[in-house]
Amino acid sequence: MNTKDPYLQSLLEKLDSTDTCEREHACLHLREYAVDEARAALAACLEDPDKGIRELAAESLSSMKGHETASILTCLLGSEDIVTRNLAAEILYKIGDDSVSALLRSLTDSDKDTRKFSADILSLIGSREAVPGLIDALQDDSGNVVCSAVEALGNIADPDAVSALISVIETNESAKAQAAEALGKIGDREAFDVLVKNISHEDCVIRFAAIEALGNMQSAEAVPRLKSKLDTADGATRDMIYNALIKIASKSGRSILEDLPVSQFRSCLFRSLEGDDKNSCLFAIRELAHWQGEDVVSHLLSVLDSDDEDVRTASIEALRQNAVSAVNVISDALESNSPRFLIDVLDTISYTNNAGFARHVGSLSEHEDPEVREAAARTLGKIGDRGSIGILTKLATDEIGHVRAVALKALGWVGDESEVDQLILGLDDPYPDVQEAAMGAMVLIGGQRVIERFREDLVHPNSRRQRLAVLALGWIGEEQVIGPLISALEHPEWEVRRGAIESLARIANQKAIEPIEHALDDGEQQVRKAAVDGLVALQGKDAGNQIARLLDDPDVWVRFHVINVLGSVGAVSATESLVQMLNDENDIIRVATAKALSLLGAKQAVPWLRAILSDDNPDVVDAASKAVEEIERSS
Amino acid sequence: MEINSIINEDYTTFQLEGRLDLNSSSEVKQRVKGSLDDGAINVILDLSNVEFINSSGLGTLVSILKDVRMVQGKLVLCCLAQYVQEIFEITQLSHIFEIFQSEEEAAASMVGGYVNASK
Amino acid sequence: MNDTIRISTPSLPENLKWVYSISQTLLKEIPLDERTSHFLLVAISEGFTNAVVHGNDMNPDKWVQMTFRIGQDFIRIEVEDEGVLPIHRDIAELTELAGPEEDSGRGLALIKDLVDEVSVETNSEGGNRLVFTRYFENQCRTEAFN
Repeated sequence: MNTKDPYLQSLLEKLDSTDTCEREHACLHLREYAVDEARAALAACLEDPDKGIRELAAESLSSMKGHETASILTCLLGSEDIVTRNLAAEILYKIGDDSVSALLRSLTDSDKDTRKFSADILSLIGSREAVPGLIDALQDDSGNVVCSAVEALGNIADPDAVSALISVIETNESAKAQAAEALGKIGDREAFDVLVKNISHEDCVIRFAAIEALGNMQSAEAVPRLKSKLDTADGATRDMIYNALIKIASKSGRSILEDLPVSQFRSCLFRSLEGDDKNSCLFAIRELAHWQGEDVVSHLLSVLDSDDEDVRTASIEALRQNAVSAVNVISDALESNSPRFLIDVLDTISYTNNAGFARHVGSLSEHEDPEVREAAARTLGKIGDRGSIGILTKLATDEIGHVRAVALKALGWVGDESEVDQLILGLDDPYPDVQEAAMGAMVLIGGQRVIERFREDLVHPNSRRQRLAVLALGWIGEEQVIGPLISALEHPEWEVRRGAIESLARIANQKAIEPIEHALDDGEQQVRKAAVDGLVALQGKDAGNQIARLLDDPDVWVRFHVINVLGSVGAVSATESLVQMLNDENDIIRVATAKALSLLGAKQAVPWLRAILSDDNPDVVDAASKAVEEIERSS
Repeated sequence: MEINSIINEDYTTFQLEGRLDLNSSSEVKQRVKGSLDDGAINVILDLSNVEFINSSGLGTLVSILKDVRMVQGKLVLCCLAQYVQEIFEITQLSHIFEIFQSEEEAAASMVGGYVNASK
Repeated sequence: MNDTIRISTPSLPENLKWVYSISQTLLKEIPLDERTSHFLLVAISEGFTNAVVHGNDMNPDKWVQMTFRIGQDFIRIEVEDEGVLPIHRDIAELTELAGPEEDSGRGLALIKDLVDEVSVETNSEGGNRLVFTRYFENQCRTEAFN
């Protein structure tokens, strides 16, 4: 780009404007110019008094990227204004690898703060290209620069830095701990001996860093050395050793911990639940899942309210396995104030099959949070206690719909015919979910009374009750409901007729075939479509000739559905009828037919498919051509 | 999608016709990339016959914009249909692209005279 | 109109044309103005594209099922694929608009802007189900005020 470009010049001039909008406009558009003048001007804007301008200039510079942009920005790392320095650093980080060479140059700047800053940014960028420069920086006069360089080498984790870092541990007391940490991150075997040597260092900071590093390296070789220190170490050092052992075990397997006294092993695991290392925490949770006892369950409960979803999920799964071993602890946990925690505990109780929890769970039936009440109802249903019927009956009249729904479902699980009256009330609930839950519960309970109830509901004044009844009879599925369902095919409400077809198809009784075939002539297109599906469900592709008569249905979506079904079930017998549909006036029918014929591999349809290659609609032509290709390929 | 290209001294115009979606995106990207590889780095995309665009099409345009910037070229759009323009606004991409109402204005932005793009 | 139409198709970009054909035919039967119809078509194309690209990884052996449910005052579209949602992603995160420099990631956010309701869930086979709904009553109300 020509720097005499008038537009560029006008943008540069706008940067001197007192009008913020003009400076903003200039900052936004200068990014399109990949020239030093534009970069330098934007870099100067990082010191603009207006924060919006500074941020816009920073965005523009970030988008420009490139070595040249980075070079200009590194000059600002020594700025007296901390905001400018920080902005420059942020942009250099965002530019990423292109900043590295400029930053390596500023690692030798005369200003030690610039050198330190440069090392810190290189640490964040993480480019291996920076390693030689950072290794040189380990000889810097400034201790802060050395520490930043050490940290950067640890973050970049290039094994080429190991020797230099070992040298730092051996010669530089003030950077020893950081060097140990860095070696732990790199994880190279070469560092093993020097780290082991330092696990007994008199300075606890260095000692801890060395132990932690061995844990981070997950080196099984370190295990005997670490264990040998357990007896003589102070409490804090023992804790560090336990953490390291758990980290190693999470990679190498639990066997390395098995010779530890049980109490020590368990201590390791408990401590890992409290530590910062997620992998160790997850390892500990999964181990503790196989343990029983109140202290185990207490510890697992303590991580149940973790913000980390993986940890929470793992602890729920673990508690599902061992909660039954600590009924009192779990019951006490139900005193918590946290609804989310309560819901998780209730979930674990659900898996115990232990009705002993029922009383405590029942006490939550009056909790102010409806989600907790719902979870309580669900749990009571699962732990199967008839003694909970009273509470569930009460929850079935809760003010909140989803609580009522779950309570009714639960009644289905634990109840019997005695609960049918309560469930019938649920059929009249204003919420559809509750009605369906009541219906489902009645189906579960079953029995003659339920069947009679639904038979009567086929002629209930409320049409929703009629529809539920026809579905329920399908789920009940006994021989005696087939007659009523067949009669329901003549129902005045089309949704009931459709439901009857679906139910008969589900029961899969061959007596239903003829009545459903009559439904192919139903006045309502959705019933006709359901009849197509029903016949296919009962007879598979043998239904092809029956349903093919709907290929001349007046409703395009019925024809469409029939064509798709014929193709997908492989009703080869309907090929001749399908071929006629290639002349349908509706283009989606012609396309659907071509696709169906392709699925059927209908060789005899090829001439007709070729005939529509001159169709006006390009989608039809495309479908026909692909069908021909596919049929010819497969034959 | 139909793509017609017109090569001018200072820029190349691509006239797109059809839907800019998952099906057509890669073809458009390849055509423009070919132009950039040949050194024609200033590009006008004439969308007057693009009746439909979705996120795949938008993503392709963003990708093309990045490619053009990498070679220090310029990309402008022109003649967006009403609904297409609305999609740009909903996704806030109307701030990222230079959009002109006519091909003439787009062309003028490429040559000497600088016309402010309407945003 | 009150109907349910279902189509199943392999995860191939070219099948988007088929989806357009079906959708345009359907939308003609619903009382929507041209603008609303257009944007609904955009939303439908986004749903299908998302299922093909992100749900099924463009694997032609995997299928996309689309169900169009038309009620008295709504159209609801369900798009099911055979993929698995990333763990811990919820609808708010998935429909967050991508940054301006991103090549992709706008699809679900665009659907959210173009329809009245959108949700993502796991279907009974463990795949994803995207459901979005456009109501007509706003349409009628708008017409009344205009």
